[in-house]
Amino acid sequence: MNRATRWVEERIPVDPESLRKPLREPLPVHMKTWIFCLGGTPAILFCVLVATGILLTFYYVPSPTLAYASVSNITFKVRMGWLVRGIHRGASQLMIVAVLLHMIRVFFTRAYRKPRELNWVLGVALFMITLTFAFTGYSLVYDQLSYWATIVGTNMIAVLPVIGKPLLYMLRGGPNVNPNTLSRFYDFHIVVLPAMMALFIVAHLGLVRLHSVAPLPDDPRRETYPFFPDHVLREAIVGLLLLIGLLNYVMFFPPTIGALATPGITPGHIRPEWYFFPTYRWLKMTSLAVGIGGSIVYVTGLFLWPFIDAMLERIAPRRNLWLIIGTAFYMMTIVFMVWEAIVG
Amino acid sequence: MEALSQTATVPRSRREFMANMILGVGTTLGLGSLAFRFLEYLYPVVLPIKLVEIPAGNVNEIPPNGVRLVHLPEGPVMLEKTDNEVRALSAICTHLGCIIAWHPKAKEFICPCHGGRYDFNGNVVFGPPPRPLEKIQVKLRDGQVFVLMQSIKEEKV
Repeated sequence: MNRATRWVEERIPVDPESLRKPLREPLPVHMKTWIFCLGGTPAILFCVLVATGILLTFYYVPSPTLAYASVSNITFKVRMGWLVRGIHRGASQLMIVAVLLHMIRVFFTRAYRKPRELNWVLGVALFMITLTFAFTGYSLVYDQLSYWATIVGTNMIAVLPVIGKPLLYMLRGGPNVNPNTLSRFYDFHIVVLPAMMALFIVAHLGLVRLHSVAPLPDDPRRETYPFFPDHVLREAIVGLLLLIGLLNYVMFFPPTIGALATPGITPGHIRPEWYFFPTYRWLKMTSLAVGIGGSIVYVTGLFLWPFIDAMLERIAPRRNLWLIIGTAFYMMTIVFMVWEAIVG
Repeated sequence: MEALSQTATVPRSRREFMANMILGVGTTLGLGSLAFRFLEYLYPVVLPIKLVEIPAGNVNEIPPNGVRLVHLPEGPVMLEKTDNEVRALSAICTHLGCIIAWHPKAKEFICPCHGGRYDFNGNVVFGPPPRPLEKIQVKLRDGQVFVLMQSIKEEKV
């Protein structure tokens, strides 16, 4: 055993202690509250999505004539295909919920404030990557929803001044939605976005480590506990619970597939997945320019929120403007989402 | 870290500065132009707009003072017949590109995606569409309707 250890140590000259040290990072005791484990859940779900995504690529064919048949094949014919696709689909929805909840937690504990502003920016970028993942993901199925979501989603980009049209052509691989579009979306979904997400997750966690976990406002406790094994164990429990929940969800609600994409016919009452409801409702209510412009302002505001918060603090200290504005925006988003879900 | 800050404060000779600058600018330009070529590779070949006459069925197939939706490979078209003319409108909503549907009771074209509405002439009457439906030129020959549309002879590049 000693000889084997020495053999490895000679070839990989790393001091094991230097590896153990970051694992023992002390965490403030408030992290033991379950709601503070939310940050780890998107990372766990990302791993689930990568694993099931790789399995899906074994049968999926990114071609307009074969994509729908291949998804149908995965769902109804391939052994355990329904399970793999169901977990992938369910995990993608849960990922959005997890990221949203994590963002809300960070927002209301104001953990984004100096010096952690950039980590909020990275987090919002991760949220945008998650949404792009979801969008490109359901575009690959090539059913009616996929096709019309691709048409509407890419047309939204064309509205941008100057860069809109070139960007649209670049994304679609032509002026119209064509076979190139599916290849490009597939490429984004399985190569570009996963690479970006992995990179951003590393940067996000790296910054958390460099700054250490944000202290909880008004928490007098000074005790800490180690990242490994205590916190890792908690995250593992969360991960297992998520998997149990996902498996049950897939067994009770196995994945289905809509009607085949028909480029000439937009079906009545078509609408995107629930996480795009607020944008969808907003686009219905406003003119095109206001619809797109408003969405850009909203996303920019989200990115720059830590700096806006600091500005509000300077303008009117102790007025809690951050809380009023933030709550108003969250409420507005939820109202739009529920409104669309109920009224349609 | 200390060694690094020490080297940073050592004054550089003009020759060293020039060499570093040429190396830096050269590398940036070289890699930049290569990146630009890669972007160019991703940019699709877009063929120039070429209008062609496409047969769109018989004039008798359009109901009087009504609308007929025809699915052409070049795109969906709404053919309309009034008392004295046959005309065509693009069936693509000017908002975000969904295909509109004719509702005879309301006498309106309605977009199923975001609820935009147009009248018989293609003018916006409600909702978010920014402009009227695109008008398409029509030619009639021996009772046959032809519409002038952009050729779709575009290969996958």
